[in-house]
Amino acid sequence: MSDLDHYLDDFGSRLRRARPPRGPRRSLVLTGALATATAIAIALLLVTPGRGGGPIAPVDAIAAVRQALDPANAILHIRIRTDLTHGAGGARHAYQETWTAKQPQRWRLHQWTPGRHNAGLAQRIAYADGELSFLQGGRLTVEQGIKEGSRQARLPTLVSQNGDDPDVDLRALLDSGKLTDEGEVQADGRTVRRLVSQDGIRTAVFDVDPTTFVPLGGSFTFKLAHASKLTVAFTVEVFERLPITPETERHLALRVPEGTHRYVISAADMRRREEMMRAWEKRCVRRGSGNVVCPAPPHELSPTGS
Amino acid sequence: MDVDALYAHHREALLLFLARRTADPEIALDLWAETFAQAVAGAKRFRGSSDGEAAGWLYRIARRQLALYYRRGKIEQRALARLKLERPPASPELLADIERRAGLSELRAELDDALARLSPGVRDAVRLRIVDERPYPELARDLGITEQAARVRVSRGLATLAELLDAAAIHRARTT
Repeated sequence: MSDLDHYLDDFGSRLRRARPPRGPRRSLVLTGALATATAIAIALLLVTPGRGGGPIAPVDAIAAVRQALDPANAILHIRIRTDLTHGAGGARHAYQETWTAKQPQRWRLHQWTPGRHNAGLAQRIAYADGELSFLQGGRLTVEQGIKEGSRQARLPTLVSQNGDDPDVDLRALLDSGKLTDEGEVQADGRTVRRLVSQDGIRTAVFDVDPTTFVPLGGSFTFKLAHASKLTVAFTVEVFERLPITPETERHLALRVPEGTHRYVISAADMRRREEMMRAWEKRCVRRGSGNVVCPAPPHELSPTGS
Repeated sequence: MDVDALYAHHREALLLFLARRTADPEIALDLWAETFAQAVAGAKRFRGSSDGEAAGWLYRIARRQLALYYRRGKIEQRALARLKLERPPASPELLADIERRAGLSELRAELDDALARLSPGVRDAVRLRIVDERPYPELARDLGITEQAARVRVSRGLATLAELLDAAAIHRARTT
């Protein structure tokens, strides 16, 4: 038996004897010299090409390369079709298409309802470099000072509420007990794993690939007055991870037609608006019926501030 | 879920998996121990039924630990602390044995060779971003290129390195 076998047996015994967890405690060990070691190791490699001379072992360089291999370094492209039963103007479907990338965080969302009379309802939103941009009705509004990872910088979609990749998000929700696993079922002629959540008002059903957790479709059912219900079904038409290239990178940015009026809200103005919003919300009153009634919002809080 | 069986089946394979992704047996051992500690502590939350699902669950825990280590340079020891568990210290001989079994010498030689094959422009971009941790706007300014071109150059450089190192690994990473 080798040293490694002894070591693995030893740790296995310790695991078996380990006491069950009592409560959450968090302890992180910081490998303090890691950043410095990384820099030195890679720098030596980068200035010492070739095998001759034996450069210092690129320990953390490999880790950096592995990090680059993480799927986060791809662009995730998703298109979801929603089937409408009572769509405005007789529309039968609505679409949501997103492109997302990380490190640094950037994304673009396009929502639209096909049909001549619905063109004005299309929404185009993008986030990159601390700026959230909205293109609607021939006007581009840019909000600055939006920090990466903040609530405003998240991209919630129909299949991901945390702004993370949907397959990761759904696994996490299942692991945390927020989704119920109904096992494998047949839907649209294929085997899917059905995950369900209920919050008293809404029942959400997510059908995912049993192995990869890639979302395939599902539905939302809302309870309405007089015991009636409204169900909205959706289908994930596209779910793909694209390598980052100049061509795919372009999908992450809004295409702004020439001549579009650009309206910029600076980071300072954004902070001022948030303060005004908080002050305005304090003036809202909860009525006996449970409804919350607010006074008319200040002029500056309109979507464009104009 | 039978955590003992899971440990018996995957203990060495998981350790070598982590060793090849960190190229450091000591760090791999820390991540490996925390992964199994989290498996023990979280076994009740496991909802699968097959051995394959259990293995997938275990490797997901390991990948989360890896991602945390890559991003922050930290090795989480939350579950080890909760279980009041410490991994045994590793002797130099043991670390050398892990290096050998994981094929780290070959991996390092491959990386060394791969870096030499990058064009100077791409190598500069990789160095500025990964070594100096410079933000993309600065990097682009220094290299006299657009920010988008800088992103592409770094991404392409690292992808090239990775493809030269382990084509199968990058394929898996891009498709899973």
